[in-house]
Amino acid sequence: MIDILLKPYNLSLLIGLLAAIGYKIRYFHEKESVQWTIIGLLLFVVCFEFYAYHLFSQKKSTLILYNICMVCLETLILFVYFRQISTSILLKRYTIVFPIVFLLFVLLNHFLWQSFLTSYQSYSFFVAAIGICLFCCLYFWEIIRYNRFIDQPLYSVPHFWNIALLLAFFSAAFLFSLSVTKIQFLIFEQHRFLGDLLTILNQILAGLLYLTLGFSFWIPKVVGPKSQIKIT
Amino acid sequence: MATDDISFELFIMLVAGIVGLFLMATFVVSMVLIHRQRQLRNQHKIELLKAEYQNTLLNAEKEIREDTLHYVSQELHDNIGQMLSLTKLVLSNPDPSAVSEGRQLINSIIKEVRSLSKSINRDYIKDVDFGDFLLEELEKIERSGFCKTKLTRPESRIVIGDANKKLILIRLVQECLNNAIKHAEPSTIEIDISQDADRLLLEVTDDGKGFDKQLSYSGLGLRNLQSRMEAIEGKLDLDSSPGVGTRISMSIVL
Repeated sequence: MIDILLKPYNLSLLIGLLAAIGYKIRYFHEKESVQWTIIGLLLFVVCFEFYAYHLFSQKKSTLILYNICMVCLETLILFVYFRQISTSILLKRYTIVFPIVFLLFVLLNHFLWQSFLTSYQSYSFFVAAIGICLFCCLYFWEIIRYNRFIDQPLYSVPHFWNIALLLAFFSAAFLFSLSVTKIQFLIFEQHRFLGDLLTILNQILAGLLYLTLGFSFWIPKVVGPKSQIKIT
Repeated sequence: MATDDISFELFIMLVAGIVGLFLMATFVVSMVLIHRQRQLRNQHKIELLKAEYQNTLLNAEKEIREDTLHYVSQELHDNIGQMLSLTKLVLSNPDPSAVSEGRQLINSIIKEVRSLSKSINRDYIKDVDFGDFLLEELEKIERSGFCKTKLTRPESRIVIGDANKKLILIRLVQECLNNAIKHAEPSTIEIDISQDADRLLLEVTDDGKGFDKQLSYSGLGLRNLQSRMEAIEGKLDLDSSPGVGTRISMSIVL
């Protein structure tokens, strides 16, 4: 159990979750359902990552678990979060339409190219990553277009950090996801350096993302009040 | 050979991933900078609006003061001065009944002076009921014999929470009345006040000459009315046609 926590990625995941729960306990009076979604997402990722580690240590396949939890469910939870932070009709519609299209693609992918049971759903993850990146760009565009958060610095907005990190992670992750089959092939070869590098880079970004999600609501408490532009 | 190809593909993906990452980071930083610029522009705009509002307020105060002084000087000369002269004449009469008549005249003068001193008082406008103030303004016009007037207002007291807003609105109505007196030659001026849950609606109507809106819009200081109304976040509509009269409708959030 201890060795699982020694991995920086798992540790950052756990710290992120504890930070999010800590915030909810400290500021329980804040009735923002989006905080519960973040906690739910982090708890979900912690559970499936730890279970995947458990399966891996018993030399069992984690393929189906990753296909269901990481590719499908995590994407859907992220879209629940996106829906909660959207204010324009365009974004709200997008958060409904995209998950439907995504689920249809997952089924199509399962039957035509990558079976859920035998291969990693990299094409589905690619589509999910594209959808998430597109949402993030639209969200930023919405901030600029509708002058949202005009009375406070952008870096004191929790969702800004969350969206920025999601954009950073998924803009790189969809390329990594396409290379997964090739990494598996290279494990048995001499040139595994590049594969390892890709995995480490991916894990650093993922660790940063989950840390940010966990600490995002603390940010306004630290930088908000002093640096806010006061318009009286 | 196959391994080398895959390594090359992986290398390309790694580079593309890192480039993508940097592009997204640049995108995010650009967004922050654009947002910051807009924030500063917005702040500047708010400061300008605040300055304009202060300016409008100062002008309104100044004009009200000037109007009041003009009115006081007129009253002193035409009304109180006349009454004092009359009292002097009456009291110089040796008839004993003249003393009682003189006393009555002095009482009337005291009343007039009290009423005048009330209108000079700076706090008077802040404290007075908006409806009562308009009634007094219309009475002044009617007393001068210029034209007939009519006021329709709700039974309850009209409360305008923001004293500055009230001051500017009073000044706006005075300007409307002055315009009617100067340019319209009406036989009747009407003010209609009504109140919604959170809005005050005001209509100043005269049956005077009227004017062509397209031709005279800038000449009658109506732009000034419009900008003052905007300063208190209200709405002003004007309807006029030659020979029919003019109706100015105003609405503000209370």
